[in-house]
Amino acid sequence: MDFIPENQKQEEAFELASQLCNVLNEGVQKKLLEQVGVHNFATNSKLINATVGSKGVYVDTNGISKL
Amino acid sequence: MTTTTDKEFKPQLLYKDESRIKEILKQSDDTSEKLNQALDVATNFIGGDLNDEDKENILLGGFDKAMEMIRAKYQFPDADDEFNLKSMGKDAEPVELALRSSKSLYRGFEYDTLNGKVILSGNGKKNIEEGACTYTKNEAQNAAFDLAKRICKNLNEAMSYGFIDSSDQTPIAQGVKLTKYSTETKNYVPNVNFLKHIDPFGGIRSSGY
Repeated sequence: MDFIPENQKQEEAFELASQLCNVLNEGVQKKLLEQVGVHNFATNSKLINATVGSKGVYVDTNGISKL
Repeated sequence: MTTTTDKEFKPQLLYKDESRIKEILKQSDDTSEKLNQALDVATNFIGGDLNDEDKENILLGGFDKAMEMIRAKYQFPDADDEFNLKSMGKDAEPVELALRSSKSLYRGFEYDTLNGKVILSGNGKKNIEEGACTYTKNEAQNAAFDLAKRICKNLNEAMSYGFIDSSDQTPIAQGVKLTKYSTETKNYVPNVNFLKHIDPFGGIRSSGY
């Protein structure tokens, strides 16, 4: 289901998180970033997330929806 | 017809080591001061007006050049150095000492002799600065540097919105080696120490990484 931001902060966070995911997944794909490192980063971040078996990092819509 | 699809590699500046530049400029200043003191000693010994070219020749030719110049002023050309120097009230020993290694010291940096003084040339300064610059060496480093800048841009933007707080900084920096958190500038910057170890195939050359 598509995420629909409910306020400006969520909108900004979503936009940023999407950009971050793109750039990090691109880095992993091009082997410029270590997948483990990116996953660690994502799990520490409030904007993006990663789970075991997930294909790259993704926008943490659950976290963003609480902003 | 031959066509080429290879993009010409353009090195990108990763960083300029300002403290290294400062250190080398200090060494250059110390050396030029020593050379100027040597020139003062030699000028007093030889006497008369010496132009910039003469002074440069003294530094490059050392004590032998200074002796050659003073011999041209001997009043008793058939007598030996000792007699002539004594008759002129000159002592050669301090000059010999002052001009010891003057050639190698003068050549050590790109100096000019201007208005009677040894100074670092513009080109010399430029080369010192250039020598302290680290550039990318291959396309893989360029790609990684570009990606690192984009990640930093996003991270710094996220920080400015408060989506990343100070407690997040260390794990983020450790997780993404292309970037690091700078305690100096208080933001994310490309991790040039990591970037410069990337080989042309995107691998890491240093065992430290």
